Amino acid sequence: MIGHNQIIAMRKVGKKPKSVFVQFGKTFNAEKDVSDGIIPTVWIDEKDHQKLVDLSWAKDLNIQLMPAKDIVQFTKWWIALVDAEVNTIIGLDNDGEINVYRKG
Amino acid sequence: MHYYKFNIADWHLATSHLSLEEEAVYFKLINYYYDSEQCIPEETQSVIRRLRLGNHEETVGLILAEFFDFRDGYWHHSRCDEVIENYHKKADTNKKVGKLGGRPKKINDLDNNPQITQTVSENNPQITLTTNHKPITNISTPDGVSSDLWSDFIAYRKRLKAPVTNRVVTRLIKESKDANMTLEQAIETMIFKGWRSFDATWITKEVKPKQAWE
Repeated sequence: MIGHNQIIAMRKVGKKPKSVFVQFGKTFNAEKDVSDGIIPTVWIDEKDHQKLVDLSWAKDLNIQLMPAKDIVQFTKWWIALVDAEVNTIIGLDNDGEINVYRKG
Repeated sequence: MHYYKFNIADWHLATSHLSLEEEAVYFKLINYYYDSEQCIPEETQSVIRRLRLGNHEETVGLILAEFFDFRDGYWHHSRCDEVIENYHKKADTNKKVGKLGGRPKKINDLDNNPQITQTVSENNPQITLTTNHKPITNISTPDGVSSDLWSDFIAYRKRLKAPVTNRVVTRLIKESKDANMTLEQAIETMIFKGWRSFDATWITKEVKPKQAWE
């Protein structure tokens, strides 16, 4: 997983992203997202396991979850993000369906 | 709600002991319940009249007593209440999703509209329809785009189940020009921002640095 450290650093100084893209696959310049101030992206590698990574950075954030390699992977990360107490998830699944979750 | 899922096996199981008349009365009451989304009032005369069950008042009473729960002056049906509640929840969800822009268009709708590409032989209707929508997989790297970035882009679109067709590339070239960007910059932007497609207006409406954080 790449990109979350920048969000943690910003949150420590009292900044909170309005929303975060969670994207699967090859990582790009996630650090630049934060320095440029655009919507930050956290990249999830295929090797990452949703139960082994620390998703506490996502607490109370609005997440935009992009399609995974399949619906199973998408759903696993969806559940992991819900468990991490995110505020909302807007997820585009592999069938092109928009899924919405709101805490509470 | 004007329609609902009807489980034939469940219905048979629940009504196997009823006479034809009783079953018909139960069916009409259930339909009324769904259609009006209201419980049956204690004073059933209005419902009986509306459902033309004037000659079956006694049966109506029997069915209500057996299949409905009486509380707060109304006859409630737990399963109907559950279905109606779920229907409203789904309607609310659809409304929210609609406000977000609705379901995204599938790539087939954009690039491979079957209305355009399907052909039908008027002389021989037995001939199978052909859609001719097989994506072109070997599009060469466009000028000005590095082969590395191009292969990344092909892989990226593949992950999104959005094949790269000539039409996609043509549109991308046009939009990148409109946005005063090179094709390479447009492709980089798409991948970098997780965009499925590219529209020049998105660049001008791009979120300003301070707006992404609060």
